[in-house]
Amino acid sequence: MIEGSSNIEGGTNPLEKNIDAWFVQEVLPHQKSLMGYMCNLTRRDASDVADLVQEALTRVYSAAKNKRPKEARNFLFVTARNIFFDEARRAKVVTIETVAEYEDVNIQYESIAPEEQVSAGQEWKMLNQALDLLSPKNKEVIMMRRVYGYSQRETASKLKMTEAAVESHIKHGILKLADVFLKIKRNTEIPFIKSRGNSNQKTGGKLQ
Amino acid sequence: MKRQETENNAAYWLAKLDKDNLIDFNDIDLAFLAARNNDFKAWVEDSDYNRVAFLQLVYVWQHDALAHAYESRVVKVTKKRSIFIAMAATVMLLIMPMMQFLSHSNKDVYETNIGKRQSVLLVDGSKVELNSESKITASITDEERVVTLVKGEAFFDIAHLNGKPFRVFTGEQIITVIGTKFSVHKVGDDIKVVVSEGKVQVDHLKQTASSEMAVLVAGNIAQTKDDEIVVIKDTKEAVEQKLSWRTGLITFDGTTLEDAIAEFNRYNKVKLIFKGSDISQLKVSGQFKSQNYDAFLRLISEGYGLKISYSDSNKVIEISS
Repeated sequence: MIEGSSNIEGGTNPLEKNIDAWFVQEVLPHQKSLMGYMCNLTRRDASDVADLVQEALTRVYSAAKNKRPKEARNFLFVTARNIFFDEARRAKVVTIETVAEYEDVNIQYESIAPEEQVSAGQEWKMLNQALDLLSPKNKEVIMMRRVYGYSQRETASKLKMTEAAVESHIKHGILKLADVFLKIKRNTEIPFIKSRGNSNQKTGGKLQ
Repeated sequence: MKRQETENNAAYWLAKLDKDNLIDFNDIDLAFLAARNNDFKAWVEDSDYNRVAFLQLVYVWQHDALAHAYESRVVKVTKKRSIFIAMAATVMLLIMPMMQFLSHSNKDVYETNIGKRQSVLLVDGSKVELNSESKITASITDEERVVTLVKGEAFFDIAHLNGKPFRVFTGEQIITVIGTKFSVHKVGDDIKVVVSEGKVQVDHLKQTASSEMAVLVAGNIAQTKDDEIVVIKDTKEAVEQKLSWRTGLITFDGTTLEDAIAEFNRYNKVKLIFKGSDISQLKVSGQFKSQNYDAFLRLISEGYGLKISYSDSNKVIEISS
């Protein structure tokens, strides 16, 4: 499915996913590795490149409204890189060294598969860790809603909370979990992981 | 800072829209949501920057790592239940009898005789297959989806309904699912749960200090014993074997003679008994039609040299060494 749909050109195919679902499924999974890439490229920490990454994501979304890029990941990386160099040029602080390093990284990311796999695994692990860092009450609400699938209303009655309190817990919980994407450090050594997380896991057996 | 402020707003909207169950996290469509809330429409149409911030939170929320957060940890059953489960179960304990009472009038009853099986399609689209000598009552309303397994064994293929839980009562336990395939076999007060697809939560209805809960995933088999739940992580093949009754077959895999006989007796009016405890622990393997105890008897008489004697009325068959 993934291979087939990524070969479709342009935005005219009526069978194409709506842009929001496409963005969530095809672009955002690369957010974390883009973060790492930009940290290395700019030699800044994640919190410093977060705005840049956000800007790149927004531009990709805007561009995709007209035409979906064929290679979402490459398009995202190139967009982010260009924003950085534009900014650097304007600020006139770009050094020879930075440009040289960009050439290196550029070669690497053309054949980027292993890094992507690592990133998916890392992301998985970090989200799980982030869940443990929430306050107990906050975690309870998130678990009830997300893991056990109770509605906010049901969660409220089961935990004897007001619905407003549940809503507020969801709001704060999701913000903390989203922070995971800011937790990458630049130039971290990334261990090689062979299998790719659980996203391809099959569920269920076939029964006669 | 612009980014944080936008993210805050996005989180506000996610929580708010989720409250009304409007968000389809697997196929997110902002235009759909905007059409249902004018304030959200104004915010989301203000800029692509806002849209992206919202979608980022959707991405985190729908991430498999969260949905499966407990798979890696709880499958090995925790001795100490977290407080919220205790609270949730206590609340459930209080409301369940009331709920059952209220829904008593429009309950559907399904029952099978010995050796028979039956498929039932519930009004919510869920399917239930009843094994031999089994009975369920079902109460499917707009508010609740509840089935009580009164006796025997049933396989459930639960339809997804916007995350609305489906609950199976078994007297002492309560099983909660969203949309999965699993079977429940009730023996006395204990149950065995076999999960072939999706995720299943098992709670004890009565809460004591030591009672446990478990979240099972495909390939898990849970057996309750008093207030304990033992979870076995098994293979897909083993799970299929456990569910072979759905095609009229019994599968033994290193099963004791005692258990094998009990299994045949579930499906047949003719009862098998054994004499002498020395043979009860003999192991048998193989697949049999549930009515074909003759083949089984032939196998053990030849394989283990056991004696088979028929009673006068042919109602009881005795196995001895």
